[in-house]
Amino acid sequence: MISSIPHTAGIGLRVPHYSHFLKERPSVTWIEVCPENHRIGVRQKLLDDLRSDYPLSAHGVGLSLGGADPLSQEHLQFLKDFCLRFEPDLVSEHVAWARHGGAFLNDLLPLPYTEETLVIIVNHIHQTQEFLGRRIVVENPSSYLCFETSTMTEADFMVAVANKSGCGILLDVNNVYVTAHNHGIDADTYIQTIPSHLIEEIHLAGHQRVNAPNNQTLLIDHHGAPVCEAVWKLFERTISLKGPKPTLIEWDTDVPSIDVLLNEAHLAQRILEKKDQQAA
Amino acid sequence: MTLKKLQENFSKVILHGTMTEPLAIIENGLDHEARLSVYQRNTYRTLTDFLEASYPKTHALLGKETFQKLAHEYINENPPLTADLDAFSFPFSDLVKTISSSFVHAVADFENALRSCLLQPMPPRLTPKMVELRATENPEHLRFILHPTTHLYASSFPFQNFWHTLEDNPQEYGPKQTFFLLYVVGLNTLFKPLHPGDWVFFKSLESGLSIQESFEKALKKDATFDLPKKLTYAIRYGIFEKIL
Repeated sequence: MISSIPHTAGIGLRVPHYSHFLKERPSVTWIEVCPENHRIGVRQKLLDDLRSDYPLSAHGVGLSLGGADPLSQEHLQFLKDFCLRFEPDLVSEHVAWARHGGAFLNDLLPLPYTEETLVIIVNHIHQTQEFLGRRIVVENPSSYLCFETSTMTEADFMVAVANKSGCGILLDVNNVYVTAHNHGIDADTYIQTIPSHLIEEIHLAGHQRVNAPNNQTLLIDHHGAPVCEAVWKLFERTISLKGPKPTLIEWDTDVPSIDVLLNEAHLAQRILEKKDQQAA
Repeated sequence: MTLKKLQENFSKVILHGTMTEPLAIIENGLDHEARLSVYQRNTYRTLTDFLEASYPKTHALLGKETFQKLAHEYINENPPLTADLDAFSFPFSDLVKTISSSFVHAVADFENALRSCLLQPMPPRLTPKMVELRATENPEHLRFILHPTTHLYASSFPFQNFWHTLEDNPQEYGPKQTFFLLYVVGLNTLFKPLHPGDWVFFKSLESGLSIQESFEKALKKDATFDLPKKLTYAIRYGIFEKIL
């Protein structure tokens, strides 16, 4: 199944911008929402109102695909109900885990990249796709630690997950940049490893640089700042290599005015169009 | 170590700061504690942020430091069970009760009630046209069903007098038994203090009594109760879902 999200720049719909979207219908070619933030009530009504005006991508954070525990049937049913109601053009989740032993830790936690993990996450993706009756795409994580037990690189793991499960990849370029910095790996090599045909969406966001012990710096994927220059450059190289893809500006903390997000989307759009013009 | 065991140990580090077995983390210039603490901080920060956003007035009253300490205690004892963070956050007001005054607890409880309205299903509301169509059929037996987003709420404090300035001027106010009608307009929950007669009327409707029975109960409480005026107001603001 090919996503009908256009190969243009969209933005994540966030609570501070709900009223603006309802009143103004800002000029953006597609939007993405987190289903977990639209469980019931007025937010679902809002999405009902907006759905006919914008292509929609649903970006989940609660499935815990990489968890050793079984998937939550309740959460799968919630996602299915969401998909039946809003018919998103694309459904995505994360290569991470968040739930163990009855506690949901509300973060995207790191996995060891081993054969055991691969079998578990592929089974969970199969189960999800079967239950939802549709293909999903999965996002590469930003990470702050690696396990000694990993037997493959993260990029190889992402490709193996997609190939074995039939899912697509949501390539978060900022996450690649953050992870590469934090582990001393090469971001371009990571991106070269991911075949273009597997990439169905790209994410861009801001990160934070923090000082760590031993004169180290860690990059934290906090989604609370503009996309930095180095990530724009990496995005440009990604588009140059892989071709234009649906590209989303994410901003989740200290959310600025809608104009700031639209401007970031405009910058992404210029890069996507530059590649289109080169191709023509 | 199996993935299950690794995640069990990782969870203990995040929630309790205890590592029962080494997690085999590559240090690469930065020790494992520094790397793990990023995840620990993220978990507590995002959950604390959610509690702050759910209880802005309580946060203002308690102050940042006390609120965060309480939030950490709450997260340790009651981590979310699912990705439904509203379900996680609602019982937080019970913990507020154990450490603070009845006023602060009442504020937390009221914030829960306001938020709860926004989470209810949103079927269409009763319109004046629908009322017209039903008005000729034994009107005294009609039962007006409250919309799921409408709540009737009794409090020991007159929130209408200070609610909108509470964050700017956090202080405690004196008690006074007050009844409220909570209802959703657009993306927000609004509230209106009710006279005792109005309260009895809406509570009677909520309990399933007919319009005639509810009116009679309201009249006993308030001889001046004006049924047409109350119904017009309630229908205009979408208080009802349907008539049976």
